[in-house]
Order: sequence, then C-alpha cells, then structure tokens
Amino acid sequence: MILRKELPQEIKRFFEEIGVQEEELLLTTDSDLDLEGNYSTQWLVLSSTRLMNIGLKGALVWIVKEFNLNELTSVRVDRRVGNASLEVEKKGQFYEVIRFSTALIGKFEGFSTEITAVLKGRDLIPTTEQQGEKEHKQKRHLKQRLSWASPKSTRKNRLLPRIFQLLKPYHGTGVLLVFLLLTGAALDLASPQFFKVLVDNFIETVALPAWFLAFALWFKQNSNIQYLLLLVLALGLLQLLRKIIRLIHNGLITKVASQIAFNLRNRLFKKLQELSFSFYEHHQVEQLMVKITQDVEELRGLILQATHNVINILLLIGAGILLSALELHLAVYALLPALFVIGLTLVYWNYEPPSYRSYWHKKAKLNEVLSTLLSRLRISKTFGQESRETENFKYYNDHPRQSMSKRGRVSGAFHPIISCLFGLGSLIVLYCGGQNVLRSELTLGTLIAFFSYLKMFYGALSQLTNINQWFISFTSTVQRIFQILDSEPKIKKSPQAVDFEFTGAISFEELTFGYDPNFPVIKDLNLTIEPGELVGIVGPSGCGKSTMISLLCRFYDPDRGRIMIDHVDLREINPACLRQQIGLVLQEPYLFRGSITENIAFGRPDISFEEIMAAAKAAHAHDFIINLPDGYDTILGERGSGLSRGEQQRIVIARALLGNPKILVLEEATSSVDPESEKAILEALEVLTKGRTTIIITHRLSTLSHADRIIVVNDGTIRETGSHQELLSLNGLYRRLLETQLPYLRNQQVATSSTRRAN
Amino acid sequence: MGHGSKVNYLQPQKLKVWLGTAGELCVSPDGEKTYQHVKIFRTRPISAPNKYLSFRVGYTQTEQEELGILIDLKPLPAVTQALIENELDKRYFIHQILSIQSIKEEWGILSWKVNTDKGYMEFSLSNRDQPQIIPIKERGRLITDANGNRYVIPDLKLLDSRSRLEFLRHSNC
Repeated sequence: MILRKELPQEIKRFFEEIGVQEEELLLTTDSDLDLEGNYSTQWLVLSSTRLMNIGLKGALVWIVKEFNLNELTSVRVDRRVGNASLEVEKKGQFYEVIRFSTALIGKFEGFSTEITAVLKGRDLIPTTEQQGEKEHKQKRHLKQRLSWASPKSTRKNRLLPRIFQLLKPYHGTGVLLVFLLLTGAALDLASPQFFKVLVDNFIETVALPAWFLAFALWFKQNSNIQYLLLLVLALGLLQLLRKIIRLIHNGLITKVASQIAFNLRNRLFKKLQELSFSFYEHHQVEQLMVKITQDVEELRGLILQATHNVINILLLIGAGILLSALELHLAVYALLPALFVIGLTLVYWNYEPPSYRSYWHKKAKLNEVLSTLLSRLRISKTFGQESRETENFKYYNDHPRQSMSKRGRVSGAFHPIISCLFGLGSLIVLYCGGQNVLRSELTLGTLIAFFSYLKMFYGALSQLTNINQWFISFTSTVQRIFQILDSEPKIKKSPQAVDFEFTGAISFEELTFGYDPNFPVIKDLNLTIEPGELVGIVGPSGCGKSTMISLLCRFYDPDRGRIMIDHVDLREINPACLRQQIGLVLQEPYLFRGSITENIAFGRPDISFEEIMAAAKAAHAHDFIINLPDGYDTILGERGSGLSRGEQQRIVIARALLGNPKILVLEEATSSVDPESEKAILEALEVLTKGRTTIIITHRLSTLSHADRIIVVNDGTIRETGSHQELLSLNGLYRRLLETQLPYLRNQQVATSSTRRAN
Repeated sequence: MGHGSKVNYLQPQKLKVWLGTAGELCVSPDGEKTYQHVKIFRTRPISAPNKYLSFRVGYTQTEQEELGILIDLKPLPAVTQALIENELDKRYFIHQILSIQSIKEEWGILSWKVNTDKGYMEFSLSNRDQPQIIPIKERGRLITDANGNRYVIPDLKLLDSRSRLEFLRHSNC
C-alpha cells in the first residue's frame, strides 16, 4: 500500500519555498491530532531523505518535527487508549513523530510498514489518490467489516411490502379468511334488526316491516305465530352460522399462523448456518435463541391478533353506519364521547412505544443475564458466590417489573377512563332515546337495536385503542426477525471457486488482519510451509497464533494480503473442499449430545463404520471406547460429558482424521489433558503427522521437539524461526518462553550454531 | 495383532475358538498363535450387537491388546457362534423385560416392577430423563437403572397392551 495524498496548496507553496520538490515525496498523509493531543491537522511527509511532521493552521505552515532517514533504524506505532502515535528510533531512542486518533491507526500502521521498507532500502512506487477517496474506501471497508445487517431490514417503510411477501404463499387462504370475516361481521350486524322486529312487532304490535313480510312469504308463513317462529328460527340460525364461521376462521388462521412460524424458524436457522464467525462475535447465542423461538412465537400470536383487529374495524364501520341510519341525532350523541376517546388514545399512543421498547429490552436483558448466570453456576459455587449471584439476578429481574409497573399504571388508568366515557355515552343515548320513545318519536325496538349497535361500536373502538401496541409489537418483532434474515455472510463462496486435491503447500503473503480493523492482530506476516512439513507456532498469549489458524480455515478473510494453498488463493477455493481437506483439532473439544459414532462421523453421513474405527484407532481412542459399556453407541452428554477431557480430545482427533486431510491443524490439543492422555495423543500424532502438512499451536514447547520448524510469533509478526536447537541458541524470545516452562534451561550453556532470524 | 494405529480384521475361515481347561475362552486368529483368556467386546452393543466384535486379551484397559475385529458372527460355524455368544452373555448381563407389572412415580423416582427372562425384578430410575432410557432401533428400549443394571425391551409392540401402556404413560422416550 503506497499513498500520496494530495497536499494542500499552503503546504505545496511552503515546500517550494524550502526547496522540497513535490516529485521526491514518497508518502504524504494527514492526521487529526497534534502532539499535544488537540484536534488539529498535521501532515506526515516522507521524502527520499527526510521524514517530517508539517503543521497547518489556516495559511500558517511550519515543520513540527523533522528527521533524516539515514539516522533512523526503525519505525513503530505506539498504541494508547483512544489515540496512537508514529515513533521512530534514532540512536537507540524512540521519538514521537505524529499523533492521531484511533480511527487512523490502520492507515498509520500501513505507513509504518512502508517507512520501514524505505529504511531498508526498498524502492517504492508512489501512487497518488484523490483526496478523500482513500478515506472513503477505508470507511466503507470498515463499515462492511463492522456491519453485518443490511440496512433494508431497519427501514420501516420497507417492512410492509416484505410482510406481504412473507404472507404471499397464503394469499388464497387470505381471500377465504377475508370472506369469512366479512360474512361474520355481516351476521353480527344483522342480528339487532331481527330483535327490532321482535320487540316492535310482537311486543309493541307495530306493523311488520316489508322486508320481513317478504322473508316470511318466501317460507310461506302468514300468521303472527308463524312469523314469531320464523323470527326466532332466523335468529338461531344467525347465531349458529356465526359460530360455524368463527370455528372455520379460527382453524384456518391458526393453521396459517403456525405454518408461517414453522417456515420462519427454518429460514432463520438456515440463515444462521450460513453466516460467518464474525456475526457470532457480535451476537450472543441466547439472543439468537430468543429470536428463533420467542420472537417467532410472538409473531404467530400477533398474526392471530391481526384478524381480531380486522373484525373490529369492520364492526366499527358497519355499526357506525347503521347507528346513523337508525337515528342520526342519537348517533351524534353517541359519537361525542367517542371523539374524546380517540383524542385520549392518540396521546396514549405517543407514550406507549418507548415504554414498550423499554420493557422488551429489559426482558431481553433479563434472559441474557439469566443464561450467563446459569452457565457460570459451577464457578459461582466454587467461589461461594451464590448469594451475590442471587442479588445480581434480583437486580436485573426488577427492571422489567418496574417497567411493566410503570406501563401498568398508565394503561391501568387509560382503560377505565375509556370505559367511563363509553358509559357516559350510553347514558346520554338512554336518556335522549328514552325521551323519544316516550314521545312516540322512536320505537322501543329501534332503541334496543340502537343500543346493540352502540355496544358493538364502543366495543370495537375499545379493542382498537390497543391497535397501536399491536402494530408496534408486530413491526418490531418482524424487524428483529428480518435483521437476521437480511444478514449477509462475510465469507462468501467465489463464483469461480475451485475444487482440487491439496498437496499441503501453504503460504501466508503480507497478511494483515484484525477483528477490529483498527487494531490488526496479524501485521504484514509472511510464511511459507512446504507439503508434509511439521511446523510449530508458539508465542505469548494474544500474539496472533490462533488468528492465523482461523484465517487459514477461512473463518475470516484477511484485511490485506492473502493465504495460498498450493498456489491458489484461499478465497478461490470451494469452502466445502477446504473443510474436507483441513483437519482441525481445537483446544476445546466440541462434542455434542449423541453417540460416539455420530460425534466422530459428524458431517460425514456417508462414512462407513470401518473408517470410523480406523480413525478412532489412529487417534488412540478405540481402546477406551471399546471398554465403555455401550462402546461406540455410548451417548455423550452435552459437550461430551461422561468422558474425561483427554478422551474427548481423542474423539475430536479421530473426527479430524476422518477423510484423511492433507493439512492437519492442532491448536493446544494437549494443553488441558492429563499426562497419560497427552502421551497417547502425542504417540498418535507422531504417526498421524507423517506425510501430512501439520501446524501445531501450543504453549507446551516440549511437545515440539519433533517439529521440522518452529515459528515464534509476537505482536502479530514473526520474530524467530528455526529448529528447536537453533532457536535455543538465539537466546531470544523462544528461549525465554521455554525457560518459563523449563527453568533448568536458564543454567544451560548453549553451543552457538548458524541460525536464521525472521526478516 | 491390532496393536498400534490400524484395525486388524479377523478372518472367519481362519478363526478358531474353544474353551480351555478352566473354562476360559481360547482363540487362534490365524491358526498359528494361540491366546487364552480372551475377552470379547461389542463395539456397538445397541445398534449392532452381533457385528464388529472386538477380541482382546489383557485384564485392565491399559494392559489390553486387541487381537482383531470380527465383522459378523454369521459366517462362523454354529458351535463357534455359541461359544462367542456365551462369552458375550457373560460380559453383557442384560435383563429382557417380558412384561411390566407397574411403574410408580414418587418424589421424582420411578419404581418399576417387571417380569424378565431372569425372573421378577424391581428397580428404580432416578428421574424420567432420557439418558436412562435409550431407543434401540425403532421400537426397542434399553433401560439402565440407578445401580447400573440393564434392561432391554426388544420391541414395545411385542409387550402386552397393559405393559405397553404403563411404559408409555411414564416415559416420554
């Protein structure tokens, strides 16, 4: 990476004045802090002879610091908290050259590498980029690295079309449901008319309405008793039909909602299988479980509730129209309280969303805390911290209670107020309507029918005051679910991905990577491993050993550089082909609940039992498995419980060996096992590693005595490389690491021999 | 011999099995060398009880050496099969449940009263969890009681209806 950012005119003029030719500038870039830690623009400039920090304030330009390159021996980035600085070594002392904020660390790390190259006499070909373009690329790269969710899941105006898309397979059933809803609402609205006839015409003896006479004639009924019978039968039939429709409707909607939930859970799980490791670093397993189980179940419930909302809307509209048709002035009196209710509801809706979100977050946090506390139960018992953990749980348990309590106070007041207002409306209608009946301006039957419709109207309105809560729950639940479904895996299969049989040649070329791109864990690492070579990688904790393996297995892609297997870029190899030909044994033996056979053959359903036994035999696991009461059929508990750590590890080694991988990676495979198991594993490994490219990462340096080569890594770079004896004789980092494990070495004289240091 | 990292498969046509003077099982895998006090282990006692049998000598697990694996009993002569099955019966002492008289639950403990091929038995399971009741093939069940004794129901359908109902009522496996 070489960059020459376009210099501001003021600096260009300044350089002209002091005789610095722009053509001789190799690297130029700006920083955002001055050496005192104030936000200010300063420029780092590298020419063929000098390294300078140029200050710029308005039209004022000055040299803040300047160093001659021939006086410098090395360059480094000194990371601090929230900022860092570029430092140069001159006569054994480090001097600060320029300071910058955390966001620019990646850029200056790259600069540090380039300046080092210049100090070592390598030629650079300067490349000029447009001002801002590099930052834009870096920002985009950073956003891509840190972001996992597509923005489309968070845009609310895109949710409705996506929900319809979700419901698309059920459109046919949807049409039927709408028909049932409409019919049901119509039947509900028809009943009061029959009651009106009953009261007016059989109790008040008013003349029968024409529509009823026509209805009766159709059934050939023409006497009062027959009319009454018909009326009662019609009412009964209405009720029956209503119940049947409700039955069918409930059955259909439950089936549809359950099917949607089933499909969503499958889609979510499938998506989670596709996502890369980096996704799981930002999401806890407990949160994901909540999304798959609770959120989907909540959505199912909300879909069921959706139809009730539709029914209420239909009843509201229908009852409103019929109220107005029966008695307009009474309808006005009935609507007055309704207007107050609507106004109050709008105010309530403003309050509800944040309080609901707050409650949901606190509930989710409680689930998370509960899961964490239960998972560390063993540790809490070991240290006698049960009371403290209980207090901890109580603290978080209280938050949803408080939140719900607060919500409950408000909603507890809201609903009774609504009921009072509706009650007031009914009383007004009763008084005014009663007066009209007494004055014979209104029939009793009409008033009774009016009350029936009023009850429907107020009932529907009361239910609909909760529609906002329903809507918020629905959209937020759907958003959470879509967040997962919209996530894109960071590691993708190339369209030109190839399959081939490995010979086991590996090369890491200028590899740079950080879980946070601003903080690279591996820096410009170069390493070549020949086929069949046994290489040990050692170094202090956090130096990047495990990261190298994660990159080799393509759990992550590098930020810069590449990894090649048999001269093919890892990103161009079919991931399935890669997984099959790399056998991985991690420190933590990942076993699952199932038989030993299933655990060894995981991911290889086509494998024969003979091959499983051969792998177990090779891993020195066969003998202890045979001695278990159920042999290979032994069901292991969660995480392989029921076996010792060493036995678990040997099963994992057997799994890794299945398929005869060309590259074997062992990460701390013996670090947490007993000496007997370690001996068995090492004996197995001695045979297994023959003819296979093997990388062993270990803290136990004594296990690397047979390694062809040992690589010593520190701070993301290779510091030493050589055989065990060669590294001992260097008296460097390897020896110091070994001495912490084998103190007698401190007293040993080591014969000098030819050695190699890492370049 | 199968010591080391490779599996040795025994050839049925070369395998000789007989009883020694003390009633111990003697084996000659290849007609040349002879081994006494041979033990036979099932590699897959639940899923394939008469296949992939491991012939071993030695007392403890660390001392043991595997002579080889016999893939299937069937090709062997009937007499040899009988000797091997007899040896397996010594190692794998399992009661076959013929009928279930009752299963009672109290304080999380299931108390079983059953008739087996070895007579009437009473045993307890510590709870209703599945590790103690393992499915065998489609309809079989292997039960391990609190003392480690083993009981097998080869086929639930072959139990009388009362026994089957009693089992299903108290087991969700």
